[in-house]
Amino acid sequence: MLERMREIICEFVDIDPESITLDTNIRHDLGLNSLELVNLAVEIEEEFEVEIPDREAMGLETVADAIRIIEEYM
Amino acid sequence: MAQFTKKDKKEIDAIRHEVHMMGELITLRQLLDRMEVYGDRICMVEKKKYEIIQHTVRDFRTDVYALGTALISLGLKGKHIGIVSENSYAWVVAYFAVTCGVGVVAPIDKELTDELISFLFTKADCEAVFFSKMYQKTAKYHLAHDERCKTAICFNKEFDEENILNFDKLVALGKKLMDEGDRSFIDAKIEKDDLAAIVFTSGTTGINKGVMLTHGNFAQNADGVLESIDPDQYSSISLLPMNHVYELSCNIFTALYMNCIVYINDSLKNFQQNLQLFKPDAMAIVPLVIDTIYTTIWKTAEETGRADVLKKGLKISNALMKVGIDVRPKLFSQIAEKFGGKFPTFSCGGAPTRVEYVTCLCDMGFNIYNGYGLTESSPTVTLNLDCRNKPDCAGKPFPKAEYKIHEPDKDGVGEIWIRGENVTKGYYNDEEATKASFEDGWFKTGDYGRTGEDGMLYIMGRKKNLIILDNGKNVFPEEVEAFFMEHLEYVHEVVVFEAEKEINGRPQKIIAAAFQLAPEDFEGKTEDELYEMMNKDVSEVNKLLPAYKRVADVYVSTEEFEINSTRKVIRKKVEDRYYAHLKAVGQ
Repeated sequence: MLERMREIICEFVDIDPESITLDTNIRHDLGLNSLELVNLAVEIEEEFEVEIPDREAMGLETVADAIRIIEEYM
Repeated sequence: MAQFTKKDKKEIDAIRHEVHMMGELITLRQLLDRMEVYGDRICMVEKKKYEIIQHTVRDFRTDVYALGTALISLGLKGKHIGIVSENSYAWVVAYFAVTCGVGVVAPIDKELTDELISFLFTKADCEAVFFSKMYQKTAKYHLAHDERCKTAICFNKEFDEENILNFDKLVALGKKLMDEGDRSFIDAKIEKDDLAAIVFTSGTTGINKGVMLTHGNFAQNADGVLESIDPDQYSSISLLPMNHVYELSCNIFTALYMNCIVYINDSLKNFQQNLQLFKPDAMAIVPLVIDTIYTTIWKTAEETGRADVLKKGLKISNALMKVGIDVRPKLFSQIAEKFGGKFPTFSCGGAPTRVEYVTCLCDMGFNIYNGYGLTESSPTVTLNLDCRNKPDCAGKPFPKAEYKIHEPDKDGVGEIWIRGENVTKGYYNDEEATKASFEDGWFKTGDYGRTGEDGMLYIMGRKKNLIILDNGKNVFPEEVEAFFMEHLEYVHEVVVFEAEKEINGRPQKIIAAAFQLAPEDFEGKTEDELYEMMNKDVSEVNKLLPAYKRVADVYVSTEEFEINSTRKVIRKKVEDRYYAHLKAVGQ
């Protein structure tokens, strides 16, 4: 799951995939703003065939949070 | 969606003229009643799953009257009623039903946590709440924690539980009551100075205040927009949350008043798709949207190797514009395609915009308005309709709104004071804050500005420490500081401030916090260990805050922060230390 998340995230930021860990903060370490965060949620939805409510998407903090939400809504 | 023919536009213009001739707008109820002239024209369109639902003005007014009648039958006359939900047709119906004959509405920011939403419902003395399915946990939490609130009404059809009423069923009940002769809502009398809404400017605890806005306040704004803007707009999309006065007052109310169809953006995730589908003429946005559009256009141009062509095109177009030839629609048609084939008009507010971005987008063909306003002035104070030529100013006073620069310095800069029919009467249940905010009938905004030789208002900064994010959200540093002091007992002092930091090569506006720790508490710990500990703890506390209030960067010091003679921390000095630290660690 982490590998697929890395691939998705690297579509948004120019960063070494290996540097992305479960603890990576999507907003503060990767610098995604709230609109980019929403676009990331769209990518995640398409990749994992899930539907993530906006409220959850806007509250995403770390990569681990994203994985937890995907598992919850899968 | 709706493509307006010349004939359609002419018809709408004629009815708008009729509305305009009805005279000054005094209340929201009057706005609702005046809408009758639009008859069976569409006023709102929304998507529900894969279905597109069009609501006519007649349906809207009938639903408002019916819901209002039903709410009165539930004993809610004169009561305060909260709303928390995504933008929807039902949201607008509920808002009008409450304000136009039942009581006072308190729309709450949906991005807050359940506890904070409930806290604000209580602070606004809500005895009933509207919510959408997404907030069912919130509504149940609130019912369990505030015994004065006995009624919760869900907007979604499929949600029908004990103790929870259903929106559609209430509307049906109201229609039945009206058929039986119930005129309690129809005959309701609303006056200009009647309180319509309590709007919370920001967040949580004692720091946030409930701004009391009257019918007259909102009516003045709707009338003013109608007087000021380009009338060649027949549809808009509702993107920003409706609990924001800016979206509600400048987009929804105005659109309904002039029969500009409101397309409701069901989710931020579908925004791009909805633009293609609805092709709106206009939208209210925040600077973050401008930034994103600008960045995306240039990023795409770079990636496709067309950046030089775009630059050259802009140069040619700007030169031609100087001699009165506008080739932008042709030259930049590929960009317009992303917006459904035409450049929409953006009304941008909530936070300051980046001048170079606004200029560039105007040069491409976007029509951008900006201005100056705040929740307390419902919200417009000044309006700039000429962003292409004057992107750095906030424009001229809005109709019937007035401002003055209080005690200007030698450069003409002073605090902006405002008054007019758009200005609040004060803060709900907070006489002290109300008293402190007014002087000689003027509301003291806390913002600094000057009037230029061109008669335009230029915003120069803020007196308060308030942080205004690019998405228009306001964050009081004192509130976040109090939150961290409460949750991290070992912290001696904390200063929260707005900072610019480069993240992955992009300068970003973030919320930073400087923590002062007592050296004796952490003897033997290295600086790296202190940072590791603080980052971990801040990350945990962050999770308890709404996403937009979270601290993004941490500075730790075991040396005392500089204080002034009144023993207050000098915030500027702490910020300087933070930047010195960033420089030292090569960031």
